[in-house]
Amino acid sequence: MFLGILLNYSNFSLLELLVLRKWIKIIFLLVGTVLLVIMTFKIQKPFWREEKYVETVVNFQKNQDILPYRFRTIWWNKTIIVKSIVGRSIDILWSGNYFFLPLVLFIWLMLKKRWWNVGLIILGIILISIEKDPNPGKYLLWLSPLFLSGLIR
Amino acid sequence: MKKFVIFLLIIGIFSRLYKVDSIPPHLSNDEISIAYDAYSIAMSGKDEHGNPYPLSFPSYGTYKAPLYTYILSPLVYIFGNTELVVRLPSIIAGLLTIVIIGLIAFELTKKRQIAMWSSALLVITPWHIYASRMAWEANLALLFLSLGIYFLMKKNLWLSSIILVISMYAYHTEWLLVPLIMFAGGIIYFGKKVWKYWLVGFVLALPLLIDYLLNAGPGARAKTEMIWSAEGANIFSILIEFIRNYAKYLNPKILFLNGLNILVKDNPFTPGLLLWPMIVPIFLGIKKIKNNFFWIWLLFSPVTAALTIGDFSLIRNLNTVVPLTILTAVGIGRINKIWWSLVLVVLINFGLIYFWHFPKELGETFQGYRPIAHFLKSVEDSTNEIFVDYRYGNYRWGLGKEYSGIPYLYLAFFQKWDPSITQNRIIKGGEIYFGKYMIGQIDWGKDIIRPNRYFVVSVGNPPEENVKDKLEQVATFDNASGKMAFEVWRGK
Repeated sequence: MFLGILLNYSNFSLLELLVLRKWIKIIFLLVGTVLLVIMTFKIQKPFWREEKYVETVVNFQKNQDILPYRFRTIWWNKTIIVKSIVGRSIDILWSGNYFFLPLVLFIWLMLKKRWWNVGLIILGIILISIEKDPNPGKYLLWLSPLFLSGLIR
Repeated sequence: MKKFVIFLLIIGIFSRLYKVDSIPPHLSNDEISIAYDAYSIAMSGKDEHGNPYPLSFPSYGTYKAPLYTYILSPLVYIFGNTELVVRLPSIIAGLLTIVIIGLIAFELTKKRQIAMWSSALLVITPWHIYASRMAWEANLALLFLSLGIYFLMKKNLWLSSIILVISMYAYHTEWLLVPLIMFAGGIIYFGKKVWKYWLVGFVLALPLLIDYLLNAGPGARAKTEMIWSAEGANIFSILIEFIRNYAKYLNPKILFLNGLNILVKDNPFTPGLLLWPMIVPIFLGIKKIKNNFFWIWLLFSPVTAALTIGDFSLIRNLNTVVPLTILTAVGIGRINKIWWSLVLVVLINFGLIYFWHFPKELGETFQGYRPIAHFLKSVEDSTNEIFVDYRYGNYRWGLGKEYSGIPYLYLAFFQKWDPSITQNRIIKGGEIYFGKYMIGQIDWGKDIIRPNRYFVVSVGNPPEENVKDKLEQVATFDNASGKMAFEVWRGK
């Protein structure tokens, strides 16, 4: 639709517009990727090093005395962090930030099979969720180039 | 097939009956209020407040739906006042729902295998196991709701309307859900006869409606629970709140990762309402089910819960478990053996958390008043006054939380009080007198210590040093976590 409007009201040819669209998509994708790298460096403290989290896990393991020590520490410690990351990531998308726009866009991108964008957005959300006290309202905006790039065919 | 059914039955019965009187530890506030009202009805025909055969039980301000209490009443009369008896209707309802979900799935898909999967999956669903092991009205309502929907699909007008309306007498969530289902389902399955279907439903639900309009209590309770009762609510804010709540009730994190709050808040080990590997077949099942009514049912299920205030309530939303389980069963066709192995590991993991950690970690929130009731019964004749503090929990010096309990109901139920004692209670200020018993806050700074007067306090409110010489400790009681929870003192 947008392409049609541009074709009518600009001096570009269809080929030029298609090339332009492709470049805009790539630029958004690149900007989004750079922002992801910056986000990675901005992580202050992962949640699994938080005092309360560590205390809860340790207390839970203390109550686990029906299982061998090695099993309960290795099994629980490895799996619980993954589970927490997945849960916190889902929460960031699902908790109604920006009136559910990121969630709706994410589902739309999945239905349209824009896997590159979906993959990078998932990575970004995981990065946000790793932070001890994540600020999804702020960092979801950082992912907007990836969403925008996904919207462009 | 026979073997599979027997295996299913064994797992279902085991998971719902194993240590059911001690896990969850003790009866919760909601359970004991139902239990005592059932006992009171059985012995006197009146509830704890003296209302003869009510349609809404005021209880301790929660206004319970009547069906569970009336079903429990003869059971308590015959089998006695125990935890197992109180939870028995819920256990049986849970087991019957396992059968009915299979029938619904067969009606939906006409495939025997999917029907079997549906029943099998409900057997191992943590959400349903949890609900079936406690005296939840919602679990009883789920049975009647599922049965009513089954008869709706069979186009049995009378049975469907009668049974669906019965579910409205079982739990409040169904007050809105059943009319929605009867409206949409009636149009889909009964065509021109729909008016008859609605009329039968309306006539049967009329007593509830009349009771609601005439009795101010349930209305007042309903008003404080709904999202439009929030201060400054307007159409826009209500809509936003509803969408947020609705999304919350379908949040995959809650459904698959940590919705079953059987551990302390924010504990990362908290299991999901459904076993997390189910997330795969659920999504596979979405494309396969073409039945419009099924989708209406699934989408309507969380509506009532989403209209209420507060955090996610797995009980208010319990009716969603049946359509979600069927959806999973439908999607299971493409799943391979690795997935089943994963399910087994996660199921064992859940069993460990439920049967081992749950009573230990959440022991403090369940009140161990039963042993206290038995102890006090043994000393009752030697005293004229027993003071019981309704607060519990290790709240002293900010070390833990303070909870408000309803100890009189535990005392009344386990000591088998004459119902006239609770019906003729005397309220003076913040204290309530039930014969020899006084329930209130025990303030050691006041002049309350008398020779041979008993005091029951939690570890959060032990006697102060300056009064300890006038008292002697006669007993202590632990909670399910193994920590001391209550102390009983007697005036010298």
